[in-house]
This record gives sequence, C-alpha cells and structure tokens, in this order.
Amino acid sequence: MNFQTEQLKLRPFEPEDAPALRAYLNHPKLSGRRYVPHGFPEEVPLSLNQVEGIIKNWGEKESEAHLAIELSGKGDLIGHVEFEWRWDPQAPWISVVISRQYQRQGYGTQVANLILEYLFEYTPAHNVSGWMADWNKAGRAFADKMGFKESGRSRREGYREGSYFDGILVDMLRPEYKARGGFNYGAGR
Amino acid sequence: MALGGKLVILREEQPEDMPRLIALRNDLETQAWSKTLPPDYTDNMSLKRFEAREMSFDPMEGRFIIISRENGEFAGSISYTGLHPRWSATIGVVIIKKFWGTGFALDAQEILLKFLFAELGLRVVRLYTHGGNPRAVGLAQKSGFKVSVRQREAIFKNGELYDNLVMDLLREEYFELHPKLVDNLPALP
Repeated sequence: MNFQTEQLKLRPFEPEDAPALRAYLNHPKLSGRRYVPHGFPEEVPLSLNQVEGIIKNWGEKESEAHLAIELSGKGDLIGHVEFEWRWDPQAPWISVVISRQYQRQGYGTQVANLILEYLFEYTPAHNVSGWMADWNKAGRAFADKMGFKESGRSRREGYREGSYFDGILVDMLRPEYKARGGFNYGAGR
Repeated sequence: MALGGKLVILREEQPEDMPRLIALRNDLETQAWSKTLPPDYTDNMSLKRFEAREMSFDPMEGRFIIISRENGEFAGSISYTGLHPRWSATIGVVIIKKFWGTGFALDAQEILLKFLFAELGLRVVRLYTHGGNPRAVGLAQKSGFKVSVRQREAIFKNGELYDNLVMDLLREEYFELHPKLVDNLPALP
C-alpha cells in the first residue's frame, strides 16, 4: 500500500530529521503528548543528542514502526506516527503526534486512516488501541471522531500541574472498522 | 530477611527453584500469561534468565519464591515489574495447583503490596489479567484492586476471545483497607 494521501506522506525517519523533530517536540504545548520513550520526562526540553538517540532507537526496534509525517511538495516534517504489535499482532497500539502549528487541519485524521487501513487490511489486527491523558481533550475528541470507543481509565498514570491524571484507553474492533466503510471512510483521501 | 506473612514467606529465587518454575510455565493452566506460551521451556533456559540478573541498587523488578510458612514447601512465584520509582509497578502471581484455594496467593499478594506501598512508596499498583480468568480477578479484588480498563476482545487464549483487563489499586485505597498501617509518605495533590 502507499502510505500517502494527496497532502502528506509517511516515511521512515532519517538521522537528518533530528533538528526538525527536536523543534516540534520541544514546543511546550506538546508536553505530555510527545509519545517518546518513557525515560525522557515529558515536560523537559530534549537536546539534539537526545533526539538523535530517539531516532536511532526507533529505527532499531522490531515489531513497531515510527514514521515521519511529511507534507507533500514542501517536505516539511509535521509530526510522527507510531504503531506497535510487540505483545500481539491481534491487538496493536497506535499514536499520532502532529506538531503544534499543523494541528486542526485534518492531517491527523489522514494519518490515522492510513495506519488503520494498514493494520486492518494488511495485518491480523482485531483490536487497535490508543492512549491519551485525561486532560488531553483534543486527543479524546480526535479518537471519538475516528470511531474509537473508550475502554477505560487507567488511574493515576501521571502528575501534571499539581494533580494526578488518568490515562484514557480507547479501542476499535475490526467489525467497527468495516462498519464505518473501511479505508474509504477517511477524510482527505 | 525474607518477607513473611500469615501463611507464606517470600524469599529470593535460587537455582534449585528452576525446575519448579519451569513446571509452572509449561502448564497452560498455571503459566498465568494472557497469551499462550509454548510448553517447551527448559530448566537451562530458566537458569540463564536467573543468571542474567545482576546486583543493582536500582532494580526495576523484584521476583520472589512463595513458600509455605508451615513447612517451607514451594508454592509458587510472585513478582513486580516495570517499576517507576515512587510511582507505580505491575504485579503478577502464580501458584501451583496443589495450593489453589488455600489463601496462599492472597497472603503472598498482601505481603508484596505492603512492600510496594510501605517500603517503595508507590502511588499505584497495577496488574493485568483477562476476562477468562475469574480466579485472578477475584484474587485481585480481595486486595482492593478495581478493574479500570476493559480492552475488548484483545486476548485469544483457550480457543476463546477475552477482554484484556487492567486492574489498579491506589495508595490511599490500600491504607484505608489496612487501618493499622500509618501512611507517612508526603501527599502529592
């Protein structure tokens, strides 16, 4: 399959992406939703060296994929998407990150649709899950719009602005994906 | 000093425990894993895993053998993994069938929870099980765990599709259930 729409394409990360990746990961509004390895505190700015390490780490792991989201034509790096099936290819996980300045323009929807198409039409996925913090209202609304259903709240996943927060888990089953019309459902395709 | 309870004692693993641990893992009923593992593990594999452990002042997991307080007989294994210091960990317990229904598992679980909350100062303890394992759910509920996430049809085991369950127990809930214990850990929010 082609991992692209008219507006964007998904491609592997390369070492030279580090400065652009670092620039958007360090935007304060993205803290808590960067989806980078847990060893890095969510709120603390990342050095170029650390981001180079993250790209290297992403490229070495099996049973997971981390793709750069690039605008067609311009070549701007506008975010990243990851999906992993380490535990069980029947129940993979997905997360989408769009850099601050490119949010709310439909790019996340296009990316999520591409990955759902891949997981449900090229792998044995039956349940695709995602995760976001309970304060991430935009993330929750996005999951809703994509057709994910809330599967629960893992209590006390973290601490932010002086309060505990929960992790909201959402999932979509293969019959639900089919019922919404498969990959033809996606906006912008 | 080993960790002692009313019925059982938790002690460190020793090389001579490996055959018994392998017997637990090679029995589909006791392997306590939410996807089926091949029942072909050898004592040698287990010994290598044992020998791979290194002395550390920052271990992210703890593994204990459960023995009967009365006669020292091997009864099973209990562990915590994925430690986030002063925050969270995930526990897992396996008991040989001979000791099912004796209260050994609950006693072992309570000893470990006391260690995690009173010694390690965790804010939440989690565990994973699935909808086809009501014994595990019941055991967790006896210690105060609640089902917080029900990821639909994410587990295939015993020829059946089950929900993946995340259960959690908050620090405050634990101390409320153990009024004789005093919580001196500084509160966060």
